[in-house]
Amino acid sequence: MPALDLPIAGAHRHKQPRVVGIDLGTTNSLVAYMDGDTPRVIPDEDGRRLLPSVVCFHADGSLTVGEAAKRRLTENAARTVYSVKRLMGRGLADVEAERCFLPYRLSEQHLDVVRIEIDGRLYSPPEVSACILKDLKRRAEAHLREPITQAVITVPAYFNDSQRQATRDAGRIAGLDVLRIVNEPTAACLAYGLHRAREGTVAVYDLGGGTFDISILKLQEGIFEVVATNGDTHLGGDDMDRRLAGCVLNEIRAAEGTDFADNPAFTEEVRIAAEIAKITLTDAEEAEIHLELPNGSLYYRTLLREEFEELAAPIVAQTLEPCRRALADAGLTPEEINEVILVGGATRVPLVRRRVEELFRKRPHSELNPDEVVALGAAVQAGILSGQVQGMLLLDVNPLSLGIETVGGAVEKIIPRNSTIPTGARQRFTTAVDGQISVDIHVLQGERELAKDNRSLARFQLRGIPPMPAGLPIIEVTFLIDENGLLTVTAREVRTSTEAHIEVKPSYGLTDAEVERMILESFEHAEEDVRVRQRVEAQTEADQVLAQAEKVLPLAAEFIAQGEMMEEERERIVQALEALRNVRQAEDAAVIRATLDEVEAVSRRFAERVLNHAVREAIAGKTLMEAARE
Amino acid sequence: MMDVVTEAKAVRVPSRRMWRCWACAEEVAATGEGTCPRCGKIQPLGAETDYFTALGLPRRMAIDRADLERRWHALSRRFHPDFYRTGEPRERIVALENTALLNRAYRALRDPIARAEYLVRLEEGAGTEIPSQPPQELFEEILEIQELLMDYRAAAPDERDARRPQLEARRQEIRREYERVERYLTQDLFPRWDPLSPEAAPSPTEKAVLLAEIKEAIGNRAYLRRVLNGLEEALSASGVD
Repeated sequence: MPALDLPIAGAHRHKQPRVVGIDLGTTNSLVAYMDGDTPRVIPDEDGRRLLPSVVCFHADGSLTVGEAAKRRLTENAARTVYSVKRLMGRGLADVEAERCFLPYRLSEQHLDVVRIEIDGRLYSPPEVSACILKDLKRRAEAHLREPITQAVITVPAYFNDSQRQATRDAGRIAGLDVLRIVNEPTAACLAYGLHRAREGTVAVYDLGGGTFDISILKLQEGIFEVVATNGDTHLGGDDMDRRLAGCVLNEIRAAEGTDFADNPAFTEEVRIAAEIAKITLTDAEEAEIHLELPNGSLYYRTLLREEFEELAAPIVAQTLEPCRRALADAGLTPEEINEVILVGGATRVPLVRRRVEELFRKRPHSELNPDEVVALGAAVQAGILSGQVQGMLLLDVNPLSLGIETVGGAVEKIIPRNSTIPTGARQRFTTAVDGQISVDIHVLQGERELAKDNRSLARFQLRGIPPMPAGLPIIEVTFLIDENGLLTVTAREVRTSTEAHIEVKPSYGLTDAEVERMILESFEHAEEDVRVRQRVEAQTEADQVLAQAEKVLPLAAEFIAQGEMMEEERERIVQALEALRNVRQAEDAAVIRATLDEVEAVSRRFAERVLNHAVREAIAGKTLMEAARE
Repeated sequence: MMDVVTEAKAVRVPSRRMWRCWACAEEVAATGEGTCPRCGKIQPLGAETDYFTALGLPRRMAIDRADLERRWHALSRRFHPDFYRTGEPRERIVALENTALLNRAYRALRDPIARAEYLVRLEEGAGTEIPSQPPQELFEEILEIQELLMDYRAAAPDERDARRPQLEARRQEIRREYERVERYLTQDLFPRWDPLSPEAAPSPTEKAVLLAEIKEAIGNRAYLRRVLNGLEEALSASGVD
């Protein structure tokens, strides 16, 4: 029987909702989708593909995101947030070293989760990231003309659990169901491997604005297996800009007796000039830096590529050690790597290319735009999850070992780094005192021997242990790292088979309640979002109805000829459809909805007839076929 | 933030070799394809399943790496959570737990030493300790090295250079020992294990003696690795500070 799927108003077609891929970057963010079997970046209305990861919070409570916010960086430095990715999932102590570079303020009161303070209001990094995600979401909805609620978001491979959780929280606050957190270098490899029957080992060197990752993958019959990953979450192209800006400021100080450190707008201007010079030196042998100083004098200098490379060399050198460690973990020599892929804007720097080529002894690939390849790969993974892309499977790893604190402050590793995820481990604990009914467990992430040198993930308490003599209870704790690299914990007392209660206090990160509150707040502050979404939904439905009507309306003539339908009824339907066509562009969803209801009311009987007609046809067809068989 | 998940438990049917499908209650053989023959839903491999069984291999030391990888890939294609994203919650837990088990199994079996450690624990119980200990004949030698290392770390940077050649010589010596123990394990001891399969009806003492030898050699190797790491760390750090 043919599918009787008639999306005349009110009847919805069942379709897998589209999943988009998002690269939430330190400097720029992008959104991409699978157009058939090709991943494509979604541009904004002006055709721009990169969204600067910059959010400006205005005094009146409104905000600006992207290019417009970036333009305000110098005039509005203290209320414009950039590089928020460097703060994701971090505590105040973690970001001490770079606080001095940030023109915006961090609250002194919040030690566990960094808060940005603007006009006395506090913003957590996931909230700021959510502003960027919402903008990308709107961009995708406008382009694809359908509501977008599901996404795959990429993170640096070397992000720890807190940083991944913070990214997922940002998605939730932005109204996105984050189906998967994918590692950036792995995503890039997916984009490169999509239409090529590639086999062999691939190294992905990913130097972004603020993070560095190296991943080594084995490709075999559509399976992308990550064998080792390493990196540094605080190393990137930004550091080159800072070194260059520092050098310029030194020269200004030497000439003028001051570097105007009390003028954040000027410091910001110098940083931007440094970034522009770095980009110029990708193709040119020299770049010019012009600055008008706050005291009215001028600063001018020509920067040779060699001079810049001298400044950038220590940063590039720092990336090579993680590469060697990843090779060692993979048990491979540089010669055994078949291909090298470059990802991230900072890999445009010629010095980076030379050093990578020297290390792996082969010319790296850069056919795909290094700024876009991660988003394209995220779209591929989105396609795998929605069933749109077949035959590919990504097997990724956890970047850092997971351990628990033992007596004396040492760490016992229970899941080693570079284990394919999902994975898990079971660990048995017991009590130290007679009648003890709870046990405290401290979970850590990192490679160091002592608990204090590793990243604290969470402390939790196993409770509800039946009172027994010391050492008798056997508490079995199961640690499970899921396909997103996120940890879940369960516990059970083995002798009595009772489930123990676990109370988890994340060491760094928002609690569920905080995230819920932020989601609510974000909706209060973003009625606009809801309106846009409702409008897009209504418009999409209107388009479907109009398209379907065009297909079935010719049947009306047939029904009228057979006396089953009156000419006036058809007139009413045609008029209602005409009205729908006119209001389709309306700004207000309610107007479109009302017209859709009208169409549904006047066409209900016609729709029933179309349905009966289709059933009759189908039955007739079946009978004929049966007849033919006999 | 962590969530608490509940394990998907298969209901054990009295016969013990059979399970009931969690979705349609059909009886499913525990050693089957991992899917229910009636409704086609994936079935839990079960947390108690050993790594060899999970990957469909006999309990042997000798494993063909390429075959192991093929099995792991094929089972990943069957169970990976990516393919059950829109499935019911129970099905998604089965996919997650099965894949986690397979990934652990693959990691443990692909490396010969980890495989031997796992076999020892299968034979003697999950809690079996394999103590890391120095080889008897190297006991004094290692004591000397620890003292040398202590002096070296305490020495002033300019004095260290003079001591380096001595440490370097010890490092090469320990590396040779480490490689010797590893060869002894993989080339002498491991090949003696497989002929002792249950079908060959080995005597319990024969098996126990071999297991004890394997455990000792694994413990020696682990100990030597630690000494070697200490030496390498000291030698590589000296240039910097």
